[in-house]
Amino acid sequence: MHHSSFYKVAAAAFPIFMLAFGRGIGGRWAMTSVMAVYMAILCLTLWIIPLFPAEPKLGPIWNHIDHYQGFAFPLFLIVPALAMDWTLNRYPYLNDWVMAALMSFIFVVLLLAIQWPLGSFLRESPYARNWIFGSHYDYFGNDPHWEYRFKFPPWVLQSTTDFGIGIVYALGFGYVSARIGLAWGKWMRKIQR
Amino acid sequence: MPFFKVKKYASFLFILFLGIGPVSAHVGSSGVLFQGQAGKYRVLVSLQPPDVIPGTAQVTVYVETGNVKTVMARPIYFRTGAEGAPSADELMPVLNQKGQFQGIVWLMASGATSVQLTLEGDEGISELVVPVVAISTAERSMPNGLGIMLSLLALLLVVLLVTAIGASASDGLLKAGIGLTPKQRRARWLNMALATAACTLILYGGSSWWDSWRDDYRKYAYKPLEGTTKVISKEGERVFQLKIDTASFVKQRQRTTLSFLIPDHGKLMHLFLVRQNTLDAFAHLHPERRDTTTFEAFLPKLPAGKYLVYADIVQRSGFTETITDTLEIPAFYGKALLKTDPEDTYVVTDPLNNPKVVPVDENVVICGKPGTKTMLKDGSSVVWESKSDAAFETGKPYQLSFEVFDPEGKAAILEPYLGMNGHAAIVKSDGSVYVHLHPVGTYSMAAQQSMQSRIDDTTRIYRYSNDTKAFRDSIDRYISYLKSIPPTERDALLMNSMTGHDMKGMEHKNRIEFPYAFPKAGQYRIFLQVKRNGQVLTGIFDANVTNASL
Repeated sequence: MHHSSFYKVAAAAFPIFMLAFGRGIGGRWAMTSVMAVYMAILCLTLWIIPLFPAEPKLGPIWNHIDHYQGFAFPLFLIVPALAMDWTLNRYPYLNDWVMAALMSFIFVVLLLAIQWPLGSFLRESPYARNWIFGSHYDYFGNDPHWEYRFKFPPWVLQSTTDFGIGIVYALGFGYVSARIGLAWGKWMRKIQR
Repeated sequence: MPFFKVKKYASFLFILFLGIGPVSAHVGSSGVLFQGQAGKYRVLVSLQPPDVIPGTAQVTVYVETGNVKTVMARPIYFRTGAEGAPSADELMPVLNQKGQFQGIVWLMASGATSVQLTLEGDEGISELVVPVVAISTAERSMPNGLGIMLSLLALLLVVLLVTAIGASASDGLLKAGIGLTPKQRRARWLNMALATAACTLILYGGSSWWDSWRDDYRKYAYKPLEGTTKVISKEGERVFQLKIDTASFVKQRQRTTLSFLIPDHGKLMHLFLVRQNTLDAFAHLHPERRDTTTFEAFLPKLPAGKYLVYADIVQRSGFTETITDTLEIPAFYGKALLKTDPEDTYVVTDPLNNPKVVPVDENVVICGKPGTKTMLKDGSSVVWESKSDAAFETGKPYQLSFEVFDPEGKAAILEPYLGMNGHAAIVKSDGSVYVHLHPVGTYSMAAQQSMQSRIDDTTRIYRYSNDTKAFRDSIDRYISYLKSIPPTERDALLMNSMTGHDMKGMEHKNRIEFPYAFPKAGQYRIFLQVKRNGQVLTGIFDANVTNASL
């Protein structure tokens, strides 16, 4: 989450579906509710699965575990979703091409604002290594003493310039993704049942 | 990390004092046969490792003596040890085959590993470790029928998707009972074209992704260590030289791995030279390490010709490798009085399929056949106990048993040779199969010792020392120490290190058995080596192997 490729992939992948459903389903807080369900499902699996005992049945075992390992703490997509829902409803007659640019901007900026510090917290902070955030869970085949287990390895760190260029790309990907999402949502409202 | 340091040096010392047994590296046959004693039970274990990792190893246990009720198996990797091994799974008894158990063991990662067997029966519980090297060597292709079926299904999916998208952009927007306008028809075609383009892109992306995985697999698939051999002149003698090619493996492996070689039977390298095609000249030498990648040995009085080269080495982890090459040996010059190692030997014999042409040499042995008696150099003889017309079948485990008699025809008293009462090298006529065998099987005993010590060690993850020089020097010192002591003392030391095998009981028997399964059909030549009255004797036998009848 400290590398621009994360934002590029997120901007390409998420707005298309968020806006398709956001516009297709209608309602004031469509995207927010979808993202709330996503967060709830991921948090519940993260919190429930580790309650069950388990042992690796395949070798070699590097990480010695005695219960199921949780997946990962979900992305805070609910924050950009809130702002996008509000904007979509506040300016219903805005041209879709302009709206797509606005959506991409909101998505990338808010995601960056929340995931950058959250990423640091999850990766580095000892306070994230508990059942709520689950940063201590790991695959049985990974070396638990890996020096970058709780650190950002140097090869994922970028210079500010490279990161900035990456974010510009992310905005571009987000624009295309959002525009397709808006068109898809519009079509879904027109479909006859 | 002081804890790891202590462990590191402890294992260092362990190797030094243990001596460590032999290597049994091989070419052409990846299966491992293990014959030995697990507590009170005598077993033969056949282990067929997968050629693609992750994959399953096929394990078959034949209980020869003792009443075993259950057999459990689990994989133990050198890096992670017994602590990092999963719990064992049961091998199931084979129906109507008493004392036979069969099952699989998953090998999830490449590297030096082993299968630990736990046998439970009337004589209590016993354990046994069979070393195996897990490497990806094969590339599987999809069966044609499946490929065609999947392509047709994919095509159907594409057609369905394109049609559905076309319909959704036209008919899907109509109210009931209304027909399409020409504009909507155009929209349908336009959307179908777009969908086709999108599907093509997705398929192209999928194919590129698949190819990149294939390339990755190829990149990390095991490639045998390569080396170049040549004959150089030193002190007026012919000298064999092997240079291991580091450029070929430096990209994917650490250069340092060559610094972590361990001796096997007290020798760092076992080199076998066999004259190509005719298999009528054979040498078993022990080259010395000049530097990390260079090995040298004085050549004995081998006749000139093109030779197949097989050089066996073992790494600290028990990873065994055979370096192969062909070598043009020039006509004899010099005196051939110098030996790099006192236990270097050579022999010449009659060419394959041409038994009448017996060469003239001081070291001539006539090649024997199953069931016949063959004279050895010092007047003693070896009998291969088998029917004279015996034809062997591929893939079947056989006990190749030999009996040695002294010149008076009485059972000969064998001395240990390289810490064992016999060795054998088996070479297929085209050179594509080679194995260095011991009476205990086709596996590396150095690897087995290494693995056993690793299991006794509770360190969760083995860390290699950065000090390659210290490791190399300690091994070199140990080998030169071995060389400096009298042969009887050396063999006693080497034999003592081989715990877990019934070597001591076999010490003075004149009968030697080698478990082996021939991997493919063809002509094989077996070079049997024993020691009597301080002299290493080589007996040679031919075997014909046919494809297993189904």
